[in-house]
Amino acid sequence: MADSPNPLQAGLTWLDARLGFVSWLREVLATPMPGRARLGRVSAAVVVGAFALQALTGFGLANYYAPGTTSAWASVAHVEDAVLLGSFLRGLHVYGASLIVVLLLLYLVERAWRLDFGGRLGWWLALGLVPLISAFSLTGYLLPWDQRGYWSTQVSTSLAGATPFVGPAAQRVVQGGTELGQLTLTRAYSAHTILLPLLLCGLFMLYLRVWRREAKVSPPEESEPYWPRFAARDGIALLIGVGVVALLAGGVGGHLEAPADPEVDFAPRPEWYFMALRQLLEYAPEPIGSHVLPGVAFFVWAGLPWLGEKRRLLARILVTCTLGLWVVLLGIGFWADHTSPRFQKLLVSSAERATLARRLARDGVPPEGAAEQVRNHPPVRGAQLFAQECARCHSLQGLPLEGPHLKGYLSTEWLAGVIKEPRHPSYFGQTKIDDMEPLAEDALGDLPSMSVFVRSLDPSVKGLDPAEVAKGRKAYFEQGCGACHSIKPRVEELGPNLYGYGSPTWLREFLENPGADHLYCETNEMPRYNELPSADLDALVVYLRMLDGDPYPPDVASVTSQR
Amino acid sequence: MNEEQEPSLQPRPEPSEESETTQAPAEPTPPQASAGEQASPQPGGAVDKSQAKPTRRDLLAQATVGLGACAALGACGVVAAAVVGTPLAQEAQAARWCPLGLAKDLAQGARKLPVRAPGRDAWRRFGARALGRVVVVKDGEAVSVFSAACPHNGCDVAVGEGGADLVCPCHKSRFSLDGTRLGGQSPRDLDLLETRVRKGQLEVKFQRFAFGTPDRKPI
Repeated sequence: MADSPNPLQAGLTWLDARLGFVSWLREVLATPMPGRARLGRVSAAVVVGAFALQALTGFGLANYYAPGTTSAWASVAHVEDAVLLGSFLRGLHVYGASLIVVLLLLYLVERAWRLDFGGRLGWWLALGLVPLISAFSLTGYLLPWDQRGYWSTQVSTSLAGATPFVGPAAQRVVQGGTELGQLTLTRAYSAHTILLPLLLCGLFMLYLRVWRREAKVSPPEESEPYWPRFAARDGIALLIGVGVVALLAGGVGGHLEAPADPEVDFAPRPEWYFMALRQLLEYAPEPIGSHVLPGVAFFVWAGLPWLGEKRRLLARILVTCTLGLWVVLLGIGFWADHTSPRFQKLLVSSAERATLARRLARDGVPPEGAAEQVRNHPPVRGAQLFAQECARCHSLQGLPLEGPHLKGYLSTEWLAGVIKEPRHPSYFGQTKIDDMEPLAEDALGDLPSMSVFVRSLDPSVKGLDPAEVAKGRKAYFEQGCGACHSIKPRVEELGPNLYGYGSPTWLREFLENPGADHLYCETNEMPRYNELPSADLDALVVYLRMLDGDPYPPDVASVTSQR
Repeated sequence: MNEEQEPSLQPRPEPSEESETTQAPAEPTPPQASAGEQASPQPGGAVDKSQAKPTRRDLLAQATVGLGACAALGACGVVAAAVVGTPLAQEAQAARWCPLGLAKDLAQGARKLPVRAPGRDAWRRFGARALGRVVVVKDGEAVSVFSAACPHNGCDVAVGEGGADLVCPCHKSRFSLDGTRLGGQSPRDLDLLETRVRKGQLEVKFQRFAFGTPDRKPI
């Protein structure tokens, strides 16, 4: 090589003469590994490789991420929706975390099964990756500040608080206060990106040293150097793993729930590998389920090197039992969720909210944050107000409550129902409004067109059949509806004025004063809502107009807010 | 690193064909027939490494590691680079008209006024985002508005003592009240911005220009 004029080679030689890194690398690569290189035998190096990928993708994400309670979710949504390959990158990072867990598990289980512990310290250092990776996972899970991260962290920090003696103090430090908030997020971020990576590097360096020393002090009887065949097994494992991760990242994408909102129902679930622990907590109270039992399992694994020398069978039974229990609990947890209608329903409503939040965030997120943006979105706010203010008297299921039901309100079916039987208990039967006569038997054939005509009084409704409207109009006046319900502006008759009935203007006037002279007058029993903020009234109007189930014109929300 | 060991500087994770062939002649080469055989593990590999014969399986193993590492790191690296480089595809901010206040209220002399406009910053949306400030100079009936960003490095120029000139606090560039460069590092005069009066309101067409260049380039 000295004769070779290859400048790269020459440069390497020059550097190596001063740093010695090539010879160091060569020594490391030549470290003898016990046994033979087979498929499925991975070394700690593969976990290092997977971590390198996490560092790379994590750096990419950190170029956008903003750790604030009003900005974190929006910044992650921005990566997902506005950054070139951002969704794919985040997917790589999210599923890469699972890859590390899988590879670490493969590595630990394989070593435990072969009862090859490479000295106790080496084994303990390898086991030390378990709490370290758990910390990575728990902090990383919170960072998007979505419903899942928020509520899961609520659980995990409260479990930390259940630790005997130090629990409450630890919880307060981790949360940065007495409850989840901005400092919890900032601390999770600093731990995830600074403290934990440093600890990890330290652990790897220690491990490398212990591993090489062990190989020198007590060389295994049957062995093979790490390079190249063990390295190849690692390379294959990593390649397969990254391939699967890339497929998941491209095909499924990293999950992002709706922005964290303590006012919205959610069923928090941790990452899949913590599902066994979660399930355990259903059977055992803390600290037994959260600390004692997992701690016992951990110390059993830590003690395996002692057992491995004399009682090989017992060691293998313990390995099988702990792993089996883990798998069974994991399975039960997932099966229970899969078969729970309540959980599945919550999944659907959460997914809807997440989709809405993402759609709104594409036009920019206001300073108050994405959770507020969703909450203030008129249909969402309207639904909340309806549940709060209206649902006591007006059923959305068509049930007879104090006031008329509003299932399908403003739809032609609903209107036909009122015209046909206004005194039915689920319409006005339970109110003081009893002046309106049911539709005459012989006019029932005109019922559909009459309801279409009433619907047409709202000028924003498009696409009605003009012939049907004309027919309905004729019947409306033939049946004498017009005598009590004027369709001209500001005319007071016995019944409510129907000029613009169902339009935002009509509905808002109605909500502000249902007992107005041109509306229900002295028969009215509904409270006035004129003290609600204007934006809330608009939101309620938007919501009421959505009850007919027709596809909602997206510009209506902006129309009402311009009033 | 001593000289005798140099020829076998090979086990780096870059298994190019070339490096494999250059390694082979340096070893005591056994007949090629044995290359296809199952390689037996070398006990105490660290010691015997220099005598290890690179079998076809070893080459395959090295190639696997090299390709695997390159593929995985390369793929993630490309994605990370695309993500980090996304701002390169961003278009320049369009100039926009921003109100500065009632034209008739403007007093004689020079002052700095804030410019605000609705806008986006990454995922954020603002009703009125602070864009920066402009220097408004009224001399008689004539009103001229300059970007307050110094053309040198973009620092905010200040109205000098007594309102006689404009001074950049960063590197002491000086400008007269008509924007002419009087001294310092600035490569050009202050950037004059378009103005108009709408319904009595003085408006400026706010725009940013590249710093450090002798001519104005919108950014």
